[in-house]
Order: sequence, then C-alpha cells, then structure tokens
Amino acid sequence: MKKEDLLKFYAQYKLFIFPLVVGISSLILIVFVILPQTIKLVTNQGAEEELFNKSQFLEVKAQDLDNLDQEDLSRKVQYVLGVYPADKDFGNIVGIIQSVTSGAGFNIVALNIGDQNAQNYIITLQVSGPRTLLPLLLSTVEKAPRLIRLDSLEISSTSGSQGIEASLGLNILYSPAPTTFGTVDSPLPTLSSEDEELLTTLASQNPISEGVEEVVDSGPRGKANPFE
Amino acid sequence: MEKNKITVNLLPPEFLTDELKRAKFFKIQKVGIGVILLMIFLSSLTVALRILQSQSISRIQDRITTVEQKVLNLKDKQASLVLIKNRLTTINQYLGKESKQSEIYSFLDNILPASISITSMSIDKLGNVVMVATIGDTETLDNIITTLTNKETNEGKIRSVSIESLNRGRDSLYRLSLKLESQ
Repeated sequence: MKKEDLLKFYAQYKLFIFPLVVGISSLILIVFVILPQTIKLVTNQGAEEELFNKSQFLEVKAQDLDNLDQEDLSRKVQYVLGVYPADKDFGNIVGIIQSVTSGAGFNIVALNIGDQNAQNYIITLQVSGPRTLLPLLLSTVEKAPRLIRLDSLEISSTSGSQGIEASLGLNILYSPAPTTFGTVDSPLPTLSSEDEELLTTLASQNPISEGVEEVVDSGPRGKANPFE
Repeated sequence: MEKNKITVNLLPPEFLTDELKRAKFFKIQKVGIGVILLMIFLSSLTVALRILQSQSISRIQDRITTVEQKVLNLKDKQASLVLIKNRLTTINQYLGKESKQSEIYSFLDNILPASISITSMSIDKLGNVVMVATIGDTETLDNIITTLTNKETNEGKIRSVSIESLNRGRDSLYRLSLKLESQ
C-alpha cells in the first residue's frame, strides 16, 4: 500500500481512526501503567504503615532498654534466681533446710532426696522436736529463701509426750533457664509495681553480699636474682 | 414591520459537508488530545508517587535495621528482664502463700482441743488427713466430730469426716481413727 493510499484512507476514516488510536493508547496506559502502579501504591501503603509502626516500636524498645540499669537488673536476676534457681542446687537447699529446721527448734533425723522431675524434686525431711513448734516449722519452711512447698506431712508421737517425730515431704521448685529470651520484635516485659514490691521482699530476704574482691598481685615475686 | 430576509446559499453542498466533517473532527481531536494528556499525567503521577513511596519505605527499613542493631546490642538487658519477669510470675504464685497441707494442719491444730492426744497424723498431697488420736471422754469426741462436720466451724475446709475405728481401752481412753477429706 502506498503512502498516498494510506493518507487517503486516513482522510476518509479519520473520524473513527483517531478516537480508536486515542482509546487504545489510553487503555494501554491504564492497563500497563496506571492500574498496576495504583494497586502497588495502595498495597505498599499498608506495608509502609506497618514498617513505620515497627520502627516506632523498636525505637521505643531500644530507648526503654537503654534506660535500664544493667547493675540493677543483674541484682534483680540474682534475687529471683536465689529464690527460684535454674538448677537443683542441692548444697544450698540442704543448708537452708538445716538452718530453717534448727531455727524452728527441731532436729533433723534424716534427709532423703526423692523423686526428681524437670522442674521440681522431693526432699523427705524427718525431724523431731516439740509439737507446739510444728506450725512454726511449717510456716518457716514455706517462707524459706527458696521456693519450697509442703507436699505431705506425717506426724507421730507417743502418748503423754510433747515431742513428735514428723516426716515432711518438701517439694523443691526450680526451673532451668529458658533457651530463648524473646526476639528483636517481641515486646519488652515491664515490671509492675507488684513485681517491684516482690523484688524488694526478695531483696530483704536474700541480701546479696557485696563481694570484696581480694587484690592478688600477679606480678613477679621474690628476688629478681636469687643468686645475689 | 419585520423585514423579510432572504438568504441564499450559493456554495456547493460538498463544501458544507466538508466543513461539518472538519468541525466534528476538530472536536474529536481536542477531546482525544485531552484524554491522552490526562492519561500521561495520571501515569506520571502514579509513577512519581510510587518512587516517593519506595524511597520512604527504604528510609524506614534503614532506620529499622539501625534500631534492630541497637536492640540486639542490648539483648543482655532484654534477657535479664524476660528472666526476671518469668521467674517473678512463678514466685508470686507461691511465695508467702501457705500450702494446702500446711493450712489443714494449722486449722486442725487450732480447732482440736488440748485434751486430745494425737498419736499420728498424715496429710497427703491432696490435703486429706488420716489421724489417730486418744480422747478421754465421749463429750470431747462429740465436740470434735461436730466441729469437723459443721460447715461454719470447719471453715469450709473439710468435705467429709469418716470414723475409721473407735475403741475403748482398759485405761478408759477412747482410741479414734479419723479420715478427713479436704475440700
């Protein structure tokens, strides 16, 4: 087809051809540019808002963490681990039981470590002492500076005697340290006023002795030349 | 009086048709160009907005990366705080709270009269009590049973009381074996 024929064809049908070309061009722009960009714009609006909120949350979290005193936290960790330790800590518990028992006026007859589970174990404590002091012993045991629960109790006494022999099943609680301590995105737990009060109580029960570090001179000792 | 106007179109009719066609095409052309310009404007606008949005998103992501790093540097503090909170929840459940066994023992110790001599007592994990005691007279025995079975005096701590055995010895003392089911 020659150019002249094309021009002639266009001149004849331009009333239809021009709107058709405009329509097709607009349609292409709408389908390939305007519509996808608008959809992405709307979709990303939500994502942007989410990211903005995350950024705000992380900034607040970082600020909160920054404001926390590491020494104070370490002290609090010591308090809570003292009361509710991460391991069985037999040595310490035996010491506590001895101290509590003698403090309540009882003598230890026998002490057996029984069932051991993942988060607790049973100690059977056989004691002898005055019957009148048993409530004090029970109360002191449960207020000991370790989480101890009375699991079972057996008492026997001879008639006419004020002395008793008691067997206390003590449930000693412990919990291994968690393996995860939260992710970057996880919200930061806050210590409520009740928690702070409890920590104060724990601190008064288990005062942490400020360790006096012994300075050991690690430098050379003795004469520089032993043959002098 | 109105003047009569006589208009005579001397132009050939093809010319008129051509003029009408041209005017119509001119209108279509104007509208078409307007539509195309509008489409171009809308396309540019959406693309520009998308570019701005992408820049804004990448700025926020950069900020997030920086703050995340800061939080990661402070993870020891977070770990301490999580540990403290976690432990305090459990400690709060138990610390200073009497166990059921201890509570039952204290209750029995308070309500049982001094004249009763307890030979043995056993409190199990559920707080149920098995008790063997010696009593001097039946009045005391009645009082004990009444106190333990009455909801007001037993403070709602005892669900049921069963006498396992009751003997009277040569020494005129009553030997009583009681089983108490705690609430």
